[in-house]
Amino acid sequence: MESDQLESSGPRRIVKQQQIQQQARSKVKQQKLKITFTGYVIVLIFLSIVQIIGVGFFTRGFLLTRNVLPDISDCSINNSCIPAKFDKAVILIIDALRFDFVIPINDDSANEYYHNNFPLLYDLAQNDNGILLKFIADPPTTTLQRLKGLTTGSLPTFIDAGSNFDGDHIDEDNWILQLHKQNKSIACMGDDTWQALFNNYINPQLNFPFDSLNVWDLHTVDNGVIKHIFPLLDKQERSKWDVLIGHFLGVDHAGHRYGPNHYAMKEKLNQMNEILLKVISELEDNTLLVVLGDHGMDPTGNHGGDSIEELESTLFMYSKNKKFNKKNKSFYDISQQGKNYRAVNQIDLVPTISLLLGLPIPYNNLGYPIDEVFSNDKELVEVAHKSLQQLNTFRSNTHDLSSKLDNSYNSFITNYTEHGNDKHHYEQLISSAKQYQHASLEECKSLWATFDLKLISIGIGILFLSLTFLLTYARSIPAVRVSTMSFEFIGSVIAMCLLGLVISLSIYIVLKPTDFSLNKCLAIGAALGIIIGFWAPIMDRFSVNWLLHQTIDFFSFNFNSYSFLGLLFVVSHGLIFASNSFVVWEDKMVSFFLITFGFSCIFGLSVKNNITKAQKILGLSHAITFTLFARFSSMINLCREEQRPYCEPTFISTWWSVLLLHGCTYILPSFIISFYKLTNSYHSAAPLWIGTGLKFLMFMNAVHWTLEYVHNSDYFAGRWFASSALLKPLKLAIARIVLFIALILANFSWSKGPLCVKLEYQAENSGDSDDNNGLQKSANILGYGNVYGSSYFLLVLNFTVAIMMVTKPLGAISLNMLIVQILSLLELYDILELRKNLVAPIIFGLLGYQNFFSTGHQATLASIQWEIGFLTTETIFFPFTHLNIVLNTFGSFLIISLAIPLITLWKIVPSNKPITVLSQIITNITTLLTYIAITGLSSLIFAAHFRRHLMVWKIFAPRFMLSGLLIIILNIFLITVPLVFGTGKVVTQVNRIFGK
Amino acid sequence: MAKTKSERKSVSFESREDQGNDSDINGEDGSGIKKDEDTLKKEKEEDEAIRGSIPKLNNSLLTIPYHNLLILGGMFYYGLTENVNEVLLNGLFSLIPIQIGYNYILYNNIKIKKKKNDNTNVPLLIIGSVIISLILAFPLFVFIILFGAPLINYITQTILLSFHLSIILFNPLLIYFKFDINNLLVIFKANKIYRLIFSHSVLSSSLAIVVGTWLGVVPIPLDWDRPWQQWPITLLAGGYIGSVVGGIISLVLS
Repeated sequence: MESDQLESSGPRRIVKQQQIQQQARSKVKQQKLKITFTGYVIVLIFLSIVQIIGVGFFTRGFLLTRNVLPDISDCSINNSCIPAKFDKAVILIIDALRFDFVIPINDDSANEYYHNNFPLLYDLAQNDNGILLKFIADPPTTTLQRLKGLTTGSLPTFIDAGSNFDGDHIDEDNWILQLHKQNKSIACMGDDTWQALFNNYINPQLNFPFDSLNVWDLHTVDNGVIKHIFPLLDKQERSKWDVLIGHFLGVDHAGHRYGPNHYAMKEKLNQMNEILLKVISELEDNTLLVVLGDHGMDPTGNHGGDSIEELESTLFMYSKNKKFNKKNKSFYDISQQGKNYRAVNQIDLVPTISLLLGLPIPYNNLGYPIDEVFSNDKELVEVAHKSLQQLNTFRSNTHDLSSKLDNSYNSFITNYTEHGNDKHHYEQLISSAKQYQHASLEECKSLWATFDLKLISIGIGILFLSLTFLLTYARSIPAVRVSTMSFEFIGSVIAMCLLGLVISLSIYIVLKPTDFSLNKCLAIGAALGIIIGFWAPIMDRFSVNWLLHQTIDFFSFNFNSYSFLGLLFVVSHGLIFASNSFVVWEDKMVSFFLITFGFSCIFGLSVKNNITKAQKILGLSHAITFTLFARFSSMINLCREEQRPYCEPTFISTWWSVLLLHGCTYILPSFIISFYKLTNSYHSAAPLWIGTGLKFLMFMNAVHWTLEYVHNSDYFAGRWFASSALLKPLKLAIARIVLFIALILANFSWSKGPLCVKLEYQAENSGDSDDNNGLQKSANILGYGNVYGSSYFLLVLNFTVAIMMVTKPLGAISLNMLIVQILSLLELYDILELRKNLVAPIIFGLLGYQNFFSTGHQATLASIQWEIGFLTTETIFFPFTHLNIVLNTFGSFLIISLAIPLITLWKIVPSNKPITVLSQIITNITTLLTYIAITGLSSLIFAAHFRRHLMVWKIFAPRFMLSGLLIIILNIFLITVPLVFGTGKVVTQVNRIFGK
Repeated sequence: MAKTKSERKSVSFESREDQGNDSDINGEDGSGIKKDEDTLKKEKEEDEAIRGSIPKLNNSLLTIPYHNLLILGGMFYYGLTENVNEVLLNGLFSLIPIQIGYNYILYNNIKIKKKKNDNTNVPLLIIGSVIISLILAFPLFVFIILFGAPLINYITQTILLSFHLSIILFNPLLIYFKFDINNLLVIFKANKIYRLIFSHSVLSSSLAIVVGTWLGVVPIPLDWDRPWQQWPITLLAGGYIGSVVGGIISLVLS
């Protein structure tokens, strides 16, 4: 509308021919702009394809997934149960009970603190009533993963495909579930991991969970177990439960806190000894006692990895009236700290317990019953048959597992039916069953539990190559040259990509590589082809020498303290992945960088000479705002487990955070308005967007979170409005309306092109003009100085409002600060002349990271705010649930990538060289991508390097997942929204109206 | 400049406010712009002039603050890691007299430009500089808090840290420039500022204190659980070591 006015108000006195000429010229120019633009977009798309392929390969090699079969075993099928041998069971888990803690060590290697302090188990196992075995865990040796293994009998993988939104809850068939199915009452006390995993199966009256995360507390959990276990063992109370589970954490915590070599460990082990003695004295005759450790500990007392000390744990079984069928004494050899002692796998406990308690073996079990438990060979053959049946059912329903073991299964079954009752065949039947189970377990292990180093290195290689090109493209070749090269790139990339596809296809057909599928071959071919296609024109035009010189030139002429800061931040951010502690404290580090930059700006401004005093004061106030807000948002955090006890989480919804949210409804728009007024841009579309739209939507947002707070708060609980049936639909409606307006309506209206300019006519005496018209009417365009930026920023606001909606109150406050920080930063870049400096997009990237943390996230799976998914729908509903979670998790990164073009566009007048403007934007976008790719590649490399590190699944793997997702999401988002939708719109529109 | 451009249009475009940096975005292509020799020469002359206005030292070997290492070592010897607050406080009380002595050495080492009667009140200068640096500890404290120091939990340690840093950082500068801040600000007009800083022992030592303290935060997050990792020992050590290293760097470079 505005534009029509402008065009029609053109003066008539220009010669018509000239006009036509000019029109033709501007048309050609616009055409040229369009072509350049398309070229850029295609080049970036190819670049992102390579990166995504790289991340994909790495992920395939690193995160091996396992399909969890939802089936539940049942006794009625195949008659798969045997009668129970015990009525009741007491299962005591002593966390981190390493095997050498419980056997007598008499040689010089004995340690006074952790050896020979827990003799009870070994002493009891000398009779036939008890049995002590070495118990081998499957890595990772963390309690949660171990409990899953100990109850389901399956191997752990990091992501169990098909796991539900409720993080820890177990989906698979397990013996706790089977007990529940048979209406047995399960009492549980100790470590609250049990509650997280099996809440639905435990008898709610007999459930006594205690916090397991506070590793500094050696006694609370143990004392809790002791307090509740003995009353339940009492004669009157025994009838209340069928299976009693107690989980002691003291030994584990003593290890974490002091390491095993400390008197606290001795005290703990002695205490355990005492308690067990007491438990055994109270035990009924027909009750089975199982004492086990879920994993061991390394010499420093930690665990999680796969060293021998961490894997070797203890299994002890005892019964007052039943004898165990022990093997020859030489199997139980305690010399050399029990090095050659008979060992069983932890998953073997699962079929053992199931069969002893008369349950069907859990569906996904891979283990084999422990021999000593069954009294004679006849029984052993029977359980061999039962467990092979179960294994075979599982294997035939799992697609990944080959059918090569089918023959041995069939031969076993024939043998069993023929000679099942023949004493002479017992031994052969048992050993063939064991062989079958062993082969099956090995196959599953190689499939699920090993890293595929080949795929990992291919992924890293592809990412590295794409990074080298990205770096050259973003920084080494002058932006203007790049703009003319797009179509050379596209041509050679398409050609080489096709060539790569053909070559890889032929390699696949001719050489038939066994370990690569066709898809993988093609993906490698395509990725390498694209990279070669990118490098070919560069090498054609420039030489390595030239690029080297370009780099040297950059360092000797264009390098200043700010670029140094930028490089320093990127390099140190890349290096933090070399140490788990720095990854854990990444949030603090990022804000430290940002505040350093803020102070550098304050300092740089106060010693800058070539600006006016007004500019200096304005700049200083921007820099101080930036720094203060960086400090404030660094105070909003959600601590990860490893940060305790040095970190106090503050990301909690409180009454004052909700109140602040209401305050922000008025504060943020007024802040933005004042920034707009600096360039006199608060006209036409701006008041509608900022003054009305933003204020209204932010108010709705605040109302929504107020309702949410009222709904959940203890204070309001029971009042009529808190329990009102209206509350929930009202919340849903508000969320839906806000998201619809912000994401769809506002973006659609924005695409119709609002400009924040205003025409102001004024009569002006221009006596010296050629026409001698005397009075000439002239028009001033208000907001001309920031015509791109003021319009583009409205797009940023659209997305920001949507992201604020899906962020909890404190996070939304941090996003409010982010918006002000972005605007201050843009002003600073303008005053300090940093637009073209490489630090500019990097600071945006850091801001993205900081707000990722201050919106209540960490690089852990536990910090994903799943509940946000149900903001707009009550059940999981694709794509809304997923969209909410993506917006919530990556919102801050989306905002800063949207703001990237503003580095170039903010506060410039309509340029008559739109292509130059465009190429500057591309430079900034690719610089941000380079930053993300560098940190991403580094985290991938170190995740692969530390794949045997004990913290890999807690720290490095989640961080790699964050980096991988960031690479993918930012590549896609930066091209589609900020570049094609945003920049494309603004630059072409302004060029159409103001361009000559 | 942008106005001339807009006048060329058929409608006289004019914005009310600052018209932005049009030239900043158009024109050159972002690669290195080589400066020609004349400007280089001119810059060199400017730098020389600035260099001349900064006081020089007779013997920069003597003015390296060796005593800082002594104090740092002393604090560790007297159990800094066990009893942070008390040792920091005692360290501060021993730092001040030693610093006064150092000030005297430093003052005597400054080359006096004009041989005229120099009527500086030396005791006042030295005592005043200590008092002023103690006062400057409060802005420094705010600065450290803004940088991300724990707000409430370790406030005593942070205050003591800022006193220590303030004395080793500001005190020599105050003596060196005789309370005249304009003399200090002149440095920032130089074109090759880092070269200038590193050629003056006191300046380079001050810069190194800042950098050292900045780097001092690096070991804190490591999970080694060593007593010296506690707040604010690493920053303090970074600053103290930086002061000596900075002095040595300038000695080596010049």
